[in-house]
Amino acid sequence: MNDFSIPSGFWAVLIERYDRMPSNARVVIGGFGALGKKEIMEHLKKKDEIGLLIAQIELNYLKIFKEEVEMA
Amino acid sequence: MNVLITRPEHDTATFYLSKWSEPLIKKCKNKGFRVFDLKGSKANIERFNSIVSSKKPSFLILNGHGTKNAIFGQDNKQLLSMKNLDLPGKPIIYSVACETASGLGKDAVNNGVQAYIGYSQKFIFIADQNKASRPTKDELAKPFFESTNRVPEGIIKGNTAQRAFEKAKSEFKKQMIRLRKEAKTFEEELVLKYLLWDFMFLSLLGKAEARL
Repeated sequence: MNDFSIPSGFWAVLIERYDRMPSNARVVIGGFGALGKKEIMEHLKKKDEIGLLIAQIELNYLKIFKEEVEMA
Repeated sequence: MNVLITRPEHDTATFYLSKWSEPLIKKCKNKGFRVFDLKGSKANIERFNSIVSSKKPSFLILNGHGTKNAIFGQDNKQLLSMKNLDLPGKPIIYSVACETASGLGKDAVNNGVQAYIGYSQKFIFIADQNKASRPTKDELAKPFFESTNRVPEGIIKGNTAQRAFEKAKSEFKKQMIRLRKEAKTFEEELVLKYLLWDFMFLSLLGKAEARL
């Protein structure tokens, strides 16, 4: 997991993105519970362990997507 | 053939895991396997140790929270760790518990477990709060559990650990390709991103050719 370094501007993008999260959706993370929009926004703003995990997952997806586009 | 399954049910994650394990129990029974179902408060270390030592299950399906070094049962009480990793009968273990494949799984294989299939990072899924009481009807959670369940389904069918692992990976890919084409909503995009994460960290340790 430490292979991911989060660019500083990426946090603001994430906060803006997760602000669109619908009220019924939950991100269920073992050991951390079922997180709704409010909790996720708090973790992203704090940049704590969960915030970092979410940022890594989003960045991971973007990296894979970029590789696909470049190979296409 | 004896199969042991643990199904703590004390929060959203464990409740979903438990409900999505019910079809697996049915499949085991249809194959004539004897299932020891440690559900809810039965998912405790005393019962677990007793069944493991007396019934010597060939296949263990372990649902619950996890860390690098332990799997937990009801109310997050420790169920399997280095302290009780001496499992008789060289079983196959499939575990949906965070991070265990990065530590405990390796130790299990070193202690005689034939094959260990689990996650080396956090297992995460997306859920619809409106379906929380009926997890198998939750369309957001469905792609995660349909994918990961391919592992135990394959093992129950008699596939090798490698084949069962590949079937799960293929199902993850199929779900992701579908969502890349069809995802329209924010939550469907979330499902795609978190499926990719789980796909990447599903791991097979031990003997690829292990089978029941």
